[in-house]
Parts: sequence; C-alpha cells; structure tokens
Amino acid sequence: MNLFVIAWSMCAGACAVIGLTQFVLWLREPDRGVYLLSATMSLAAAATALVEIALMKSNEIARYGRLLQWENATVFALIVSLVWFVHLRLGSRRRWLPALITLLWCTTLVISFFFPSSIVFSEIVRLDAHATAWGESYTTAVGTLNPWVLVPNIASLLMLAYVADASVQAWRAGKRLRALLVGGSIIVFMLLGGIQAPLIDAGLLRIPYMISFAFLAIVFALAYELTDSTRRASILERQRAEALADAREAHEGFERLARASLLGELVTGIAHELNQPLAAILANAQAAKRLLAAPAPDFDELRAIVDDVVRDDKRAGEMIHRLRELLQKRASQRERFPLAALVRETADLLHAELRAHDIRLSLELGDPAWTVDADRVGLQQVVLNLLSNAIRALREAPEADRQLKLRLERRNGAVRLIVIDGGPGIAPEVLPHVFDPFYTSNMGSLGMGLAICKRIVEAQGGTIEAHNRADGGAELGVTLPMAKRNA
Amino acid sequence: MPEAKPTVFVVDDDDSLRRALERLLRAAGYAVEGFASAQAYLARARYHGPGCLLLDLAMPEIDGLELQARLVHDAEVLPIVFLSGQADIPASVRAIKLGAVDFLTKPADDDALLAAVGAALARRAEQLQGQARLAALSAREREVMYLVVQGLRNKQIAAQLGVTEKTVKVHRARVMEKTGARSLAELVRLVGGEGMGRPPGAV
Repeated sequence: MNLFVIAWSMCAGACAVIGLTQFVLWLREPDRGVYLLSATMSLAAAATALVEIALMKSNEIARYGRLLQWENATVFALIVSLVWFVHLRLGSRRRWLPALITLLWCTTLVISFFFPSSIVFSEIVRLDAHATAWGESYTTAVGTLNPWVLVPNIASLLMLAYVADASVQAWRAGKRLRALLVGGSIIVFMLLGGIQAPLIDAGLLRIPYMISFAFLAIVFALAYELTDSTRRASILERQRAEALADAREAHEGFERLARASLLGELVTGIAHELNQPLAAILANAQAAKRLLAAPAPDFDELRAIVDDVVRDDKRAGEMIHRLRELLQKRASQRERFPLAALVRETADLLHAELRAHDIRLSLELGDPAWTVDADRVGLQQVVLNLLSNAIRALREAPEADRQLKLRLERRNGAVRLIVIDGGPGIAPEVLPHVFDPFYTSNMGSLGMGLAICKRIVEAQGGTIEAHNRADGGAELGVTLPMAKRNA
Repeated sequence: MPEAKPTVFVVDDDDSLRRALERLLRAAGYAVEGFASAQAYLARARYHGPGCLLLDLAMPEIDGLELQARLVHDAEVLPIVFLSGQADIPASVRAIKLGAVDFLTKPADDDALLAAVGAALARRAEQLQGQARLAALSAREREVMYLVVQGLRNKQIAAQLGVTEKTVKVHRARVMEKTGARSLAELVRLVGGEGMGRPPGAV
C-alpha cells in the first residue's frame, strides 16, 4: 500500500486548494499583494510535495540529483514568497532581512543548478532503498555533502529569526491573533522543515523529505484566517444590511413627518378658514339670545340671524368637504369620452343655480367627436369647480354682466376648455396664487378648489391657467391632450 | 339720554362675522357702525363722541395694527379692542403697547367681548371728561399747564411767561382745580391722554 504517495498527494492537494483560493482572492483584489504571495507559496508547497513523491520513488542517481534541483526550485519559490508574505502581513520594520534571505535563496538556486546533484550533494554515492512496515518502499540518498548547502541553512536560520522578531513586533503592536497564526505557523514550518531537511541530507535521518508536510501548519493557519475573514465579511455585510434598513426606516419616518407637516399646514389653513364662520355663528347665536330676552323680540332680525347661521354652517361644511377631497386618495380611472358631452352634463347639474342668480350660459362646444383619454369623474370635478367659481364671481356682479361662456377649442393635438365669466375678475394680488392650496383670501376656499383642479388636470397630462380678460372678467383654461385615433 | 348712546365701530373684512358682531353689539344696547375695510373707516368723518373701535387684526391691504398706528399718529384714536383669528402674541404686545384696551381671539364669547368693549368705552368716557376739563381752562392757564407738565419750576415758568412767580402759583392752583387733578402725575396723564405735544405758540 502506497501510504506515502497517498499522504503526500493529499498534502499537495490541500496546499493546491489553499493556493488556488488565495489566487482567486488576489484576482478579485489585485491590489492586495499578500494574496498573490500566499497563493505562490501554497502552490509551491504543492509542487514540493509532488517532487518529494518523485524523490522517494526514484531509483536512479542522476534522476535523484535533478529532482533535488527541482525541489530546491520549489522551496526557493516557497521561501521567497513566504518571507515577503511575513513582511507584508506582520508589517515588520526590517526590510534588509527578507531582502538578504531572498538573496541567499537566489544564490542557492543558481548554485543548485550548477551542480548535477544540486546544492545538497557534491556527489551522490548511492541510493538506499528502504521498506516500511506496511510494505511500501522509498529511497534515500547517501553521498558527500556540498559545502554550499550552508547557504540555504543559514537562510533558514535567518528566516526563523526574522519571523520570530516580526511576530513579537506584531504582538506588541496589538495584532496578537495574526502574530500567533502567521508567526506561529511559520515557526512550526521552519523548525520542522528547516531542521529535518539538513538531517536527511546528512543521512542522519533516513526518511523521505517532508518539507511540504511542514508547510501544512501554514496551510491550516491560512485556511483559518480565510474563513475568519469570510465570517467577518458576512458580519460586515449583515451590519451593512442593518444600516441600510435603518436608513430606509429613517427615510420612511421622514416621509411620515413630511406628510404630517403637510397635514399640519392643512390644519392651520383650515382652522383659520373655519374660524371665521364659527366666530360669526357664535356671535349670531349670542345676539339672538339677547334679542330673545327682550320683551318684544325683533323677529326680522332673528330670521336674518338664522339665515346667516345656516350660511356660515354650510360655508364651514364646504371647507371640510374640500379638505377631505384634497386628502382623499381616489384611484383615477382612465377612459375615453367626448369632452363636449362631459361639459354639457356638468353645466346641466348647475342649471338651477344658474337660473337662481340670473346668469346667462352660452355653450360653444365645437366638434362632439373631440375625445380625451382621462379620468372622467376627476374632470367632472374640475369643470364643476370652475363653474361654481364663476357663479360665485357673477352673483354679485351687475345683472348685465352675468354671462358665463363655456367654449371648446382644438389646438394642435389638444382640446382646450375655456370658462369665461363677466364678473369682476381675479384681484391682481390674488391672481399669482389662485392655484396655491392654502392661499387664503376673501375668495374663501376658492384657492383650495383650484389647487385640486390643478392636481387633477396635471395628472391627466394637461395644464390649467387663469387670467383676467381685457374686457373684464376671469378666464380659466384647461388644456388636455386629444385622444389618439384607434389607439 | 339717548344721544349719549355710545357707538361701537366694527371694522372686519368678513361680511358675515361683521354682521354678527354688529347684531350682538346692538342687542347689548350700543349704536354700531360697520366697515368692511380700514380704508372705509378712515374715509369716515372724525367722530368726537363716546365710542370705541372693534378691530379685526388680519385684513387685506391695511391690517388692524397698521390702522391703529395711523390713528395714533393722527392723534385721533378711539380706544381699540382687537379681534384676531389666532392668539398672536407679538401682535397683541404691539397692539397693547400702542394703547389697545384688549386683544381677543376669535371666536370670542359675548361676555368677554362686551366686557372689553365696556372697558374701552369707559376709557373713552375718561378721555372725553379730561378733554372737557381742559377746554374750560383760559388761554393763560393752558400755557401754565403745559409748562408745568413739561416739568418746569414755578420760577422758570414765571421767567418764561414774564409774570411774577405768585401769578404762576395762582394759575397753577386754578388749573388743578378746574381739571380736578389731585397731583402733577394725574395732570400729566390727563394732558397726555389728550394726545397733544405742546400748546400752539409755546416756545
């Protein structure tokens, strides 16, 4: 049974897996050199394990020597990347030491390929074949040691000193876990690999080279660090997600606040508007009480009071109604309909009101085929609002001026509804504010109504504008896109 | 005495509320005149009788405070009771500093409203009384009174008017007697209430 082969292969596999993982990490973060260094040393350790298998199964002196050269090459890659890994990872101050170690190993490599039996032997005398208890055979070499082998051995000692020093520095700097993992695992590796190899070289230990096995300590340390950083990354990710959730919640809170402040504004405006009729109702009621206490109450006055109370109450109610309308979330439903029919219908609703105030209505509704794609109920509200505003303006006007004109016009791809009244027009200081929801003026809640109109019309992709006519009176215009044929 | 029925001038741009206030005040026994704007009130002829102003704070163009400031400037000021849509502290402080009798928040209860109007009318009555007393003074007594009010000593007054100090003392005593003022402070208040700076011709 080839236990050695299996064990060394597994070792090579472990090293290769870690090496590839580190390499992938480096690809993802190319500016982090430590990943490339740890990848190189892990892959070099894997290669070393493979060369060691070849060595123990080799039975030809020349081949054994060449394999030793290759082992020196893989260990060179391992050591050089390891020493710079320590330098970066533990952040030691001494740069000359890793540089010296690198230099020594470069020398080792050159010398190794200079001698046929590598830097280890000047000459390999013979290869001894051994048999294990489980019946596996392996080879060790016997020969005269090359004096140059001192160079890599000195390098190993320097390496040990350097790692120990760097670890102590890192420990003192507070990077304790890292000092323990990196420093500890490398020292284990150096002790096992750096002592064992010269002993085998010298023939004092007659076992296969186990440098790659010594490297397993580093593989475990790296694997631990890797999973640990993945764990930390996942913690960070969770914290980030939590922070995002917090931010979202804060944003929602802000929106709630904004809505509340809009509501607050509404309440302030509505409170102001409601106060007038309420104050009037109170004063009227208390006046009535006093009048009723008189021996001969003035019934005409009392009747006038009751009329005013009713009117004021309706006024207050209308404001609340409008407020509700403004706040209501009504799903708008689009449909196709002729605008002329809608205008005529709406005007009919106000027929009695118009007659009661002696207002003459004239309709010029153009082509009944002019259709729009819009929210019918919403638009009806708009027309109703415009008409009731006009009626209000005309109520107080001289009888000759009580004219209300509704006209539909076609204007490049759009239909325009124009509402013209012969009233006093909109006061110049009010005109710029007619569409402001909370602009309060003597026009009462007119502002609120027009603000709703504007919102509805704009939701249909239309526009609304107000101005005074040169011949007196106000003109309100609503422009809506005409429905596309066959659409 | 029906001609002594005091008049309350109501200035409010809200027609309905103004009508209601007029009714309440009439029911309480006052003569009432209503105005839809500050301009309309200013256009009215000066009123010299007993009365007061019930003034809405928030009105378009000229608001209540501005009307008050104008009236004070013209020294033609009936005592004022303010009515405001909301409890506006800075405005009420300003109004009271300029001599307003009270500052009520709408809707105002009739008791509070009539009490304030009553207080304003009482102040007006005091004003009129003082005016009547001052009117009874002779030209020389008037001169002496204004100098006294300005804080001059008898000797200084005598020098300024070219009379003896004894004459000044006599005039002064008569001023106190005719105006009914019991102290210099009371006299100052009386003259101040008249709203005049110095007598015509005084140096």
